[in-house]
Amino acid sequence: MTEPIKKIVIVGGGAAGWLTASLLAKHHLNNQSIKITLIESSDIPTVGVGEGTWPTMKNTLHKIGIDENNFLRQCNASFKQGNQFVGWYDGSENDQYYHPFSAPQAYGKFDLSPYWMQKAEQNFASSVSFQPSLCDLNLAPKRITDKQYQGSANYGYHLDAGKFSQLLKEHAVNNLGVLHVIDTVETVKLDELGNIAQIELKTSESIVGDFFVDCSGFSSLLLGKALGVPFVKKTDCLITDRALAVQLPYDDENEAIASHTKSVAQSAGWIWDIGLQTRRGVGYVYSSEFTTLEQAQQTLADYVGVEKEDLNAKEIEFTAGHREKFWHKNCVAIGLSAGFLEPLEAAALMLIEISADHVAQQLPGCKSLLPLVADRFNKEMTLRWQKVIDFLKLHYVLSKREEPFWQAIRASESIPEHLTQQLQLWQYQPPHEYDFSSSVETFPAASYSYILYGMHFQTDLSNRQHLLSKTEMAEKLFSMNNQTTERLTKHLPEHRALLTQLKSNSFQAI
Amino acid sequence: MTTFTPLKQALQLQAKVTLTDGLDWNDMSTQIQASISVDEFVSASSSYPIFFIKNSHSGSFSAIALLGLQQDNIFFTGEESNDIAYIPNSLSMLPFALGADPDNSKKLTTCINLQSQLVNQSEGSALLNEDNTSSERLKQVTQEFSGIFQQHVSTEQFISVLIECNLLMELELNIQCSGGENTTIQGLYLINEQQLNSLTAEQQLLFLERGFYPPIMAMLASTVQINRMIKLYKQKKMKDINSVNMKVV
Repeated sequence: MTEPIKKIVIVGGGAAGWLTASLLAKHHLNNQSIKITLIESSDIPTVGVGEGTWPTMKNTLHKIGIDENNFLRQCNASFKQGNQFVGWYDGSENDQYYHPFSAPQAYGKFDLSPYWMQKAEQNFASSVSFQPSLCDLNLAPKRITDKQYQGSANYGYHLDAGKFSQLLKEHAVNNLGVLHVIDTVETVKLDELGNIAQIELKTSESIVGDFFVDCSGFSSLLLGKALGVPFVKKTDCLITDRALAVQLPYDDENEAIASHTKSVAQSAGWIWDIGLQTRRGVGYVYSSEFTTLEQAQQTLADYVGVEKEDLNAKEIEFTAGHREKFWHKNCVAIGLSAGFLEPLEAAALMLIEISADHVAQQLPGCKSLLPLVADRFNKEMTLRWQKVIDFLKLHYVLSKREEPFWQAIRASESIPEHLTQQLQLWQYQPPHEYDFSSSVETFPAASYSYILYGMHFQTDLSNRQHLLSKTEMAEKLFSMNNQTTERLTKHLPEHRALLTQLKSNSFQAI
Repeated sequence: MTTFTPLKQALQLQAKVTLTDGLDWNDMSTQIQASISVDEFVSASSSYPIFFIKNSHSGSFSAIALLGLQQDNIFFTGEESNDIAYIPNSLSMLPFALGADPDNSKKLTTCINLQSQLVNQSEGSALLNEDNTSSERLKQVTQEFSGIFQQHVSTEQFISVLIECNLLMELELNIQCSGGENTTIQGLYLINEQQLNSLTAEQQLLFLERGFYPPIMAMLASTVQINRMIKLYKQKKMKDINSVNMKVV
């Protein structure tokens, strides 16, 4: 059974479908024998999988050959330098901390966190990274003279998911040779071995394929429905199950645009607040067990400052969890068809990028190797999802908030065992790369430190004094961070000003 | 830095602007670089090293003749000079320059350096006639700028093709002086010869048709002018430069 894999069929045309199509097509651009077809139904609206990305998106867009200026202009996009968590610790007035995208000074060479604990006067993120100050001042991470996809500070994006899919579609079809079929899937036909053989469509001819990618969203038409791979709920760990989303205009055209995502804790969940070029996207993620729709609408209305009746929020129901396997037979699921987690830390698009890139790199040339590659992919992705779940959970478990929702979500029986172990370890030593031994870590140790110490976690270093032997070096790095902060806050433009300037000027490729 | 005022503002500001004839040698000597157009590359390469730089306000590329290695100017002393083979248009036009129009940021307009030694309110000839119409001198300036503006547009097109063909590379100049004093000039861009040699036949034809090769060759050749600059620094006893290294970044 050494049949070659020549025809790849992607079902679903949201950001997941078109990102996967673009990455696969780019990877096989010089391989004439591989043909990629994307089937998109015109009557299923795409679910905006989220409006925030990780810095990984820079590489992804660069890799598939999209001009950063076009991306920013066409997707109503803005820069994202990290997340700010407001009210997560105890909800008191000054309760806030940052998880910036730029790593701490000297990260990977020298761990500043033990030295910071000795000082413990200033907040962790701004002692070790210059980026929180940039966010506080609504500054951009780069200047107009910087190259595309490069800046003084690390960054991802906020974007309009619908427009993003549109841009990717045009790029995939016009520049990367992806075939676009607009039709609705009627039936999925399997062969005698249980592989997907062809897709029958409502109006056009059936499409046969050697390999199929399920990007059909929540419905999971191929992996879930046709191949019967079950969904594994993670609702005992991540208990939110509803979201209310609204789009708001800016008060005036000079209102500052935040260059970070604000995540503001509420009594039964949290509110995201994202600034795009021409509007804000705000939404409440909550647990229906701890609040009613009415109360949730009121909470969101109070946050945005309108009457509940004028809110017009879109309701989204979801179940946290993922497929038991992501790749089965000759089909892989990417995007919502693979699973869904609340959008805290915006992992959805990142998981799409990672999955699609992995498939593009590892898709074997012939069918006989599929089980081997599938097995590796499933092991890796299961681990990645578990790590993302651990990381999201970490945000909740350190809270001291008293509302029933917060007490329930940090109940010890709901915390994954792996995370409990890590927390035990971190009581006596700061997070280290060795705590994340797997080669497929999704979040670096630095991300854990930002959350832990942002949430006032105490690490007892009394038996780890050797971590404090280079005070001089540490002082130098702290002062370097101060200098960099001062320099960048002076030189970087305001976020809105840079986005406005992009209308007439461009970031150069070099 | 020379400050330029849009001419229409300047004429409102001062009742009468008059101008002494001749080149503005003094203001030329304060420039550390001179903007040049692609049409000037061949002539300018006789005297100065030519680079591209990024405009700090717009991020777009433009071409310059580098006039000094120490944030200074080694070619112009402030006195009238006869041993300069070529004076870039942007210098010979001084005290006039093209600048952003205050009424429309997308347009360029004629500006003037009111601090120039050539500009005053009594001597020389007035820019406006008694009846407020443009003097012959001003008409001439306006006409020359319309030509320079056309060259500016063709320079932008030239550079955008170079970028499309991936021909630009970023450089820095490391300048080592005796006594261990070193300086670095960053943010210079030059044509990548290796990439130039790997252009497709189709691209080569396009370059030939558009007359891109002479300015490209002139630009590449112009870098040896740095050696002449080192000698000038020594001759004028301004600085003892041991070496200048051009590093691709």
